[in-house]
Amino acid sequence: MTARLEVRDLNVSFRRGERVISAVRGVDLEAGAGRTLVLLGESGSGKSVTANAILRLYGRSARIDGSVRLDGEELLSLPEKRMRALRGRTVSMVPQDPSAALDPLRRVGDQIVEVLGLWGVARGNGAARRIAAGLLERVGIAEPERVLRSLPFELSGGMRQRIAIAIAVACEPRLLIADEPTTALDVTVQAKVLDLFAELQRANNMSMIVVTHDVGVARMIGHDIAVMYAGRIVESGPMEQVLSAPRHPYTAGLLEALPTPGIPRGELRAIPGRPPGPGEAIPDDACAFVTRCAFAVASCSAHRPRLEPVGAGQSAACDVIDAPIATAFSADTAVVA
Amino acid sequence: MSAPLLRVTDVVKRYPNGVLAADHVSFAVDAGRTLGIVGESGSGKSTTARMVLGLVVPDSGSIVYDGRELVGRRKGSLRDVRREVQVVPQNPQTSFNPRASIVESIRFNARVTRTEIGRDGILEMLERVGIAPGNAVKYPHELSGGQLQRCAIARALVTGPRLVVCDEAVSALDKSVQAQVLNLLAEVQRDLGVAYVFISHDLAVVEHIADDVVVMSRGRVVESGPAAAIWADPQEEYTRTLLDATPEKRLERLLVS
Repeated sequence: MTARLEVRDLNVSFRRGERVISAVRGVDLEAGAGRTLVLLGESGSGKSVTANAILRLYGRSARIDGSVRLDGEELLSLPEKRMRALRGRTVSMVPQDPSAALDPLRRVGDQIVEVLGLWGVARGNGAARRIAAGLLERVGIAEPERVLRSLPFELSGGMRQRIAIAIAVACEPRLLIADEPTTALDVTVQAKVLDLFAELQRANNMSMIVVTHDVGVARMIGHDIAVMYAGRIVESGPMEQVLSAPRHPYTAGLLEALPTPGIPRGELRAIPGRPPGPGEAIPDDACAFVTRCAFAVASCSAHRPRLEPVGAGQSAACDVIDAPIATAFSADTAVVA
Repeated sequence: MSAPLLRVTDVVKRYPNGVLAADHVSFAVDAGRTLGIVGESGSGKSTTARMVLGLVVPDSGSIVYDGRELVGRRKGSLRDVRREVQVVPQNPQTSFNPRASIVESIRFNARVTRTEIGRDGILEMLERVGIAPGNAVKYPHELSGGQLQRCAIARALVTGPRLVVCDEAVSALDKSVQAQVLNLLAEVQRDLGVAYVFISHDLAVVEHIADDVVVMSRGRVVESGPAAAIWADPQEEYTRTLLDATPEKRLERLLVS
């Protein structure tokens, strides 16, 4: 079976006056039908830029190279008109902040009806409203009629995110991209929204790409994971395998840095230094993690390691590590295996 | 047993729009210890923090710091307390004056609290939280979020506080940097004996850093006690719901079932 989404050698750079900022460099990804791929990374890692570039959401200031194929169709060379027809219907997006995605001055129902009209899902206001109510019911909203009549500010953050999800899945997209979909939500609401994603995926068999910085969220929702650092994927593979037996020092370091029960106060294993900021020059002939890495050797500064297969479906970009790195997660996840 | 450093008793705050943000809130913080306050948005945890800092005046109730009643005192008379009760806010980018260097900002905090500390003292404090003198003269936009949060900790410490209110102080940081700042807060407490009121929505962080915990919901204290006891055996339904909703707990349940 070929993957539904195939990204090959994706490069995204932005022009800022005289400077060119390289945000994503040589990213390969796959997301199969009914599977969820998590892009995990810290700020500036390029995870959101990768997600946005798949939908070609950037204007002329961005240069996107490489290949993005959806069921075999190349998206990067599609005319903008055709791309526009795909967005929202075939490939859809759930934003991080639903408040910013909804018009604050218009009733929720009118906004959903407008979108349904644009996509040709429903003709006529009556039919569209019935479909809108059905969509809200599908995302677990108990009183759809009341919510359709509401203005966004009258609703809770969780409710607004459900509405954004309802709009995103209205056309049963083949691929759903969600950028930090639960970061703005309280933890009890987050749990319900994650359940909702899983439920919608089962019903539609859609592929999902979820961008997050939260390992807990990644683990709850993802089948596969790609860990990003400084614009590149440093490790990828099946979720539990990567988290229980990481082969890249950054993946392991990130897991070790999390507050975990049993670690005495003040003794968290922090990664020294900080991730490179946007626009910071990263040499291309060295490992980008070398200055923070506990395992680094001299050759790490002279040669950039490629993402190579290290086990069943797992790949890592490190020339030093040749066995799984033990972390607090390893013991925890051993129960699964 | 000696009296706690801070005792909040039956504090009530209703905002003009009718929202009851604090509904008879009570808790105590002992010197040199950490009290975590957890709750979801709208639980009243930030209002509570602001009342402790004297930024929001409660409608009724009592806040006693080191034997001194704060409620009902005139603003100008709080200066001695402000020196001893400091804050590390959530967003380091907006908590520093963008047009002043880090040293200048910190000197300003010393001046308004009438703290006697010179430039050398400030540089020394910055160095101790991991900010080199070369960075101390920089402007906020030249530093990363993690570096700025270290500066915010130094700014709080220069007045020689005995209580520091950390209001979502590590929430905006990347996880790999968050661990550094949590370690720094622990080190400062060990060396200087400051107490923390540590407010966060991140339950794993609070479990790690707090001795005692207050769980808030809709302006009320739902449950309070030693952190270890609350995580091991929550007594209230709401606390259980909150703890069970974290991804870590949900996975644990999936594995057991």
